[in-house]
Amino acid sequence: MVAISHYLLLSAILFTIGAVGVVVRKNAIVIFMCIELMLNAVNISFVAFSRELGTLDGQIAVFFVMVVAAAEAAVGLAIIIALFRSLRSVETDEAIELKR
Amino acid sequence: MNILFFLVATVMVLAGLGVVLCKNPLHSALSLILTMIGVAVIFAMLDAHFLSVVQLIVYAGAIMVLVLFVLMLLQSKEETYPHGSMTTAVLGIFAGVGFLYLLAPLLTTGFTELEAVSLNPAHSGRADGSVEAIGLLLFTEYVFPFEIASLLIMVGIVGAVMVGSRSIHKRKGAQA
Repeated sequence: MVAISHYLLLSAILFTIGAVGVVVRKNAIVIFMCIELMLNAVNISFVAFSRELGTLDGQIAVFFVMVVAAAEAAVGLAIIIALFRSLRSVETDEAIELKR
Repeated sequence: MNILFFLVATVMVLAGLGVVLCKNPLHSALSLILTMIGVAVIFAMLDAHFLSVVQLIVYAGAIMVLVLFVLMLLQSKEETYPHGSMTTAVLGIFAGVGFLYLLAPLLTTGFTELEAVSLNPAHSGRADGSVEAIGLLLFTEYVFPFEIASLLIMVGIVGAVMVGSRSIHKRKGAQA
């Protein structure tokens, strides 16, 4: 029998991988994908708790997370395109205009 | 059930590592799609049928196709990775292992009370995530957040067009 802690542990591992990716990688699009990975990891624990507690509210929360993620994808990728237009690159190390 | 879970979980963790470790961002995106399909399978195993399908259509479908579009549009020839500073990579891995070390005992031992009602068939009927049940809840109890969500999507689309088409904006300003 798969217990809830297995689902939560899987969720924690995926979230950690995503968080490390955000810190380590320099490509803005890969950072964006790591954020999506973290959102997915949290969704797993939402659904696991929803199943565990016998209510559907957790699944509704996941639905709204997906809505926000879709809006975030549209705006975030538009920002990355605008960044590429001005810098000719999507490396975050190049975006240091504010430091100068 | 047991074997399927551990198989899918292993594939998901490996694909998740692929997202971070692949040099080519395109391979990262394909690994992420594999992870998202794994999430859909996990949702199906947890009786969240509606979310499982939405996960496939919206996440693995729409969002990742958008990401792949942008990736192929902007693809620089050579990917610089890990881009000089090895210390960042080492510190990141340390932070990740430390975070997991703090989290893991909490997750495996902290839910003894919940474990009593652990994912058992008695609860499976009460929380079936069918389209009917989710839709009923979405249009009664959560109707206000649902409408706000539609507003958010619209604002997101307008914002994306505004940010993305800066050249049109600039040309208009030059004409005036």
